[in-house]
Amino acid sequence: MDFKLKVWRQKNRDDKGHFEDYTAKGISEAASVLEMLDVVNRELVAAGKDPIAFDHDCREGICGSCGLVINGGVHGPFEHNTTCELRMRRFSDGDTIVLEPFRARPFPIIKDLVVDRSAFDRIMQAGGYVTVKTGQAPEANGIAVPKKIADEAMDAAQCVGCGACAATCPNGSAMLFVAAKVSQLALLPQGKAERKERALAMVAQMDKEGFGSCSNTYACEAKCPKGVSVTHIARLNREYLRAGFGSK
Amino acid sequence: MALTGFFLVSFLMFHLTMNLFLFEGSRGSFSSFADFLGTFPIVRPIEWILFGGFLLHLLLGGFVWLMNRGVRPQAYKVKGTSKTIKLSSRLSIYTGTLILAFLVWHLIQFFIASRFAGHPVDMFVLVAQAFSNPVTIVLYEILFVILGFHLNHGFQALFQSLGLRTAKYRGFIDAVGVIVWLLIPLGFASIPLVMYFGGAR
Repeated sequence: MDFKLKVWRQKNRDDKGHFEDYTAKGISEAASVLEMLDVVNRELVAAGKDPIAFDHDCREGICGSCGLVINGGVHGPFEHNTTCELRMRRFSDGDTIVLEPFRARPFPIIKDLVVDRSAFDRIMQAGGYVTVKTGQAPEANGIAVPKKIADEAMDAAQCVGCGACAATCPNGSAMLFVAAKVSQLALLPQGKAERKERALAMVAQMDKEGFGSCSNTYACEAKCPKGVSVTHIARLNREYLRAGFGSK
Repeated sequence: MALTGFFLVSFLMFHLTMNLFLFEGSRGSFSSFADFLGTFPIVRPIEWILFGGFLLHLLLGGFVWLMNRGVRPQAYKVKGTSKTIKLSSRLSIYTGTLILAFLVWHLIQFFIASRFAGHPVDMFVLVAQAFSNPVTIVLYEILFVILGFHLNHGFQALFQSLGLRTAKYRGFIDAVGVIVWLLIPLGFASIPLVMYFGGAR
């Protein structure tokens, strides 16, 4: 398959950046968008040009490293897939494909299609953990977790922290990410002990990083590659209210 | 936003209930109801609370809108996000602004015209006069469509913000929402039409 590409090129954080046109020829329909970029990059390197920089790691949809805005959709115009899982067969031969980086103020562009998502790391450091004494692993069946609760926690835990929610939100809000982490831990007995501090600290850090406020448009849910539901945002709101107004 | 929104939805329900008395015609309860509200002392502080609720709602809405501007310094070349968002959610700040503009006119037309007339005003006559003008009716009908849009986003969103729109209640809240965003504006919208075409005299 052959494609015309319009790719965002930006030398560094301070560069203004621009779109550049490329052609991708002889691409296998089983190739992912990233593998297509590999082919284009090979040609660019052979011609002595600077290859297109993009983030990637596992290439099987579980690490949360990749993330491009493809034809206006985060992780592509389709639902529930990461960029690395998007196969070229979903496009038509000869299509023009526009590749842009995730755009949100807290995600500064490092180079081309690579953005700095360390804001998410700092939100996690603020409260996305469970404090436990390390040592011998406890008996697995020591703490009973009802199946329904475990399932809901797992649904939230599916979040890979890719940043698609903030990149697609018209307000650049990271609520779905924070909600997934807060929800996952608040549901499980191990996480309940620190639920109040966690909700307050993670939301405070999210605001500090400069993410926008949620206005309940649910754009995030529509484009989350893992299908994390906005009902977790409702739980985050509840956790936050409980932490703010509830008894200490 | 959520609490003031809930307060304003409650007020809309009250307002609609009162307006339905218009169907009784000129000798009905509407004018005496309006007289009572205009003269009973306890209604004054409640009126101020209502003004406060409106003011807080629009100030908070404006504040959120302002704060969220500039979070995406550079727009995407291909606009794809908008396709995934309900029109009513995307336009809520604009529908809200239009409702505010309407409200100024609405208050001048009825509230100020009756309260500050200097003499007792028959509210039914005032309303009937206003709705004898087809242009006024068309403008009001447009407003009720806009109001429906605003409520379509706002009603479910208020439960989301309060953390009540959980997986279990999501469907129920959205179903009750239909009553709010569809039936309330429809109820309001029916009144000018019925009055114009002679249903209430």
